[in-house]
Amino acid sequence: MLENIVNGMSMVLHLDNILASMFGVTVGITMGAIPGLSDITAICLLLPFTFYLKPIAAIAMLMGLSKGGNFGGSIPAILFNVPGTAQAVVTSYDGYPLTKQGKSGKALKMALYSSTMADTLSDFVLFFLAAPVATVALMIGPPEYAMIVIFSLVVIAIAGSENFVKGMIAIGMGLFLAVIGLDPVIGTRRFTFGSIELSAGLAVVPIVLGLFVVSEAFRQMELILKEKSSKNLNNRYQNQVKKTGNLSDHKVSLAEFKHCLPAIFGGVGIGSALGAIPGIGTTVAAYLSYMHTKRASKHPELFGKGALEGVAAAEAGNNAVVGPNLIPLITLGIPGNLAAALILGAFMMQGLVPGPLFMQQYAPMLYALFTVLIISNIFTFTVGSLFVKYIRRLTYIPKRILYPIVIIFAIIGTYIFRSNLFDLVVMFIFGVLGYIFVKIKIPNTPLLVAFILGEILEKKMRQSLIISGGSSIIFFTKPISLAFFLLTIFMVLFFIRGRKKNKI
Amino acid sequence: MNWCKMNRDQKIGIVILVFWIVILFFVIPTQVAGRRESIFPRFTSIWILISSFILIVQSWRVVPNKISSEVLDKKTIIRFISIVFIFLICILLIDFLGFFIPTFLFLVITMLVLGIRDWRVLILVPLVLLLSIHFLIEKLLVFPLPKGRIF
Repeated sequence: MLENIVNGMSMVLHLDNILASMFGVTVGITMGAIPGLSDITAICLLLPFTFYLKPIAAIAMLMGLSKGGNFGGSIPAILFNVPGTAQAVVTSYDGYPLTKQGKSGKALKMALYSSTMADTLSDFVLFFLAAPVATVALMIGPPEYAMIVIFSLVVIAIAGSENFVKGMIAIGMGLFLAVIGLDPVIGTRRFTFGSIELSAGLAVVPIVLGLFVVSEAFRQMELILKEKSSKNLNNRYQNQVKKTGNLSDHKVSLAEFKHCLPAIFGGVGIGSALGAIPGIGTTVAAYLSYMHTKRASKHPELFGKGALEGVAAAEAGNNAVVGPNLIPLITLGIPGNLAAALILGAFMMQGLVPGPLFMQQYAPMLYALFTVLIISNIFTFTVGSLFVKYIRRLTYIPKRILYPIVIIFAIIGTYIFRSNLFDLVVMFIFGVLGYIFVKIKIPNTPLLVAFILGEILEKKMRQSLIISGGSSIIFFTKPISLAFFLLTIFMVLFFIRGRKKNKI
Repeated sequence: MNWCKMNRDQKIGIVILVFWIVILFFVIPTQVAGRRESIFPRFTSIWILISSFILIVQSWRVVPNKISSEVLDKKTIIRFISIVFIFLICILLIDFLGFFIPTFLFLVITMLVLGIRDWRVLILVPLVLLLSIHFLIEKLLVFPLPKGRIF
């Protein structure tokens, strides 16, 4: 093990990897700080470029984007009550009241300290748990694997959508899109309609950029068209940041930091536990961590009015998800959330297939990944500390200029992936589809995760049927497979019961 | 069953149901050769059919006016559709005119539709952006962006 650790570290400690990580963190913080853009947008836009990087540099850049973006989202949430990311909504509960009191610097610094500390601690959870989970994962065969994938998809449908049934429809659509192209076992063409471009199947990059970047740009443009006084809106942002000359209002004292430590550790515990379960995102972790700290506090009445612990708890909760979220990805090849799904896409583009055999075949890679995570945290801390006062100015960029530019970057990102103009049409179609899906509340995230997992699910199902001679009973006779089938049923029933109770 | 009296989720469920019935019974038999190759497409289609059927049944009790629908004025809809249409034209033109001319036009027209009237912004932003892209992507990273058939 020690040898693997040393090998892993030596793989990472090269200038190009360090620069990739620093670049990722800087771009992630920058994009996270712009309302309407997020860590996901940053990963989507830069994903095609990683194809031209070495595997470690590519992963270092993506992890940097994810971590930087996670923190960056808290900047506009604290300064203007305009969360840059969904999880930053909880940060704004107390961050924005602190800004109104003239303590924006204090809130931003606490967000930075708690997020990097929680992130680092949660990375150790990944470090210690990945190897044991991978050992167990080695024992599973095709039927068990297929059932685990189905279980994960159902959990993602439950957690990732307002309406579970619509989440299931999105999963079905994602799985269906994955079958376009060549049959993974026999190699015959399916749903190509005579098109040569479709024979290679749909690529993940145009779908990602269409569903998440173009559709979001469309949505924001629609809002701009509806917003008649957008000029006034920008001015309002600038007037909101109250400044005080008192230096202590912009620093976090040691006593304040110590006071917030229980909130940070609570956030790490909640975020890490939730992070290891596929589908439970950072927003849920941030909210639960915030509620836990509020309940445990001696002064719960201060929450929502500028409690520094509230900022610490929310940021610790959402950042502690990042490390453990990679456990199902590395050990089973199942992404825990959208960011992990995109990182899985990057792994696949590099020819690396995460899954039960990943630890055996690329053991030093795990330790390299761990080193990358720690380096990204160091950069988040340093870049965040140095540039936080300058980055806040990004929030003033007029959206009417920003979103047309975002679309141009989506075009470049799609084309760079494999120099194919057909991919631009695919990106456009998925952009329109993604926009319509947002309108009719069919979630895009389960669709993408199902699309990424579709091929592996089909392969495992077909392998299982070959083993059993065509009998689907094999999925219910293996103990682990049966257990996950029952768990899936239980999850659905539990969810339906919970919904009915809430309605009553 | 009156289509007008249905709520939005019922309509979505019916559209998806009908679409996937067509896929299951007409598209799969013509586009997928072999029984084994069609197992997974059939599995996913049945997954969607069951889900959309549940969506229709689930939303049966919901009164139409309980589901809010965003109403946009005609002017906004026309402007929005024009942006989507300009984007499509831009993508199609890249094949003929290359990357830079269609994207320059897209940026200018879109910003104009979004309400920017300052001609300095309308010209300078696309110019600076595309020049930066040219130097960063084509010169520094040595990656050729699409060249058109005409230019």
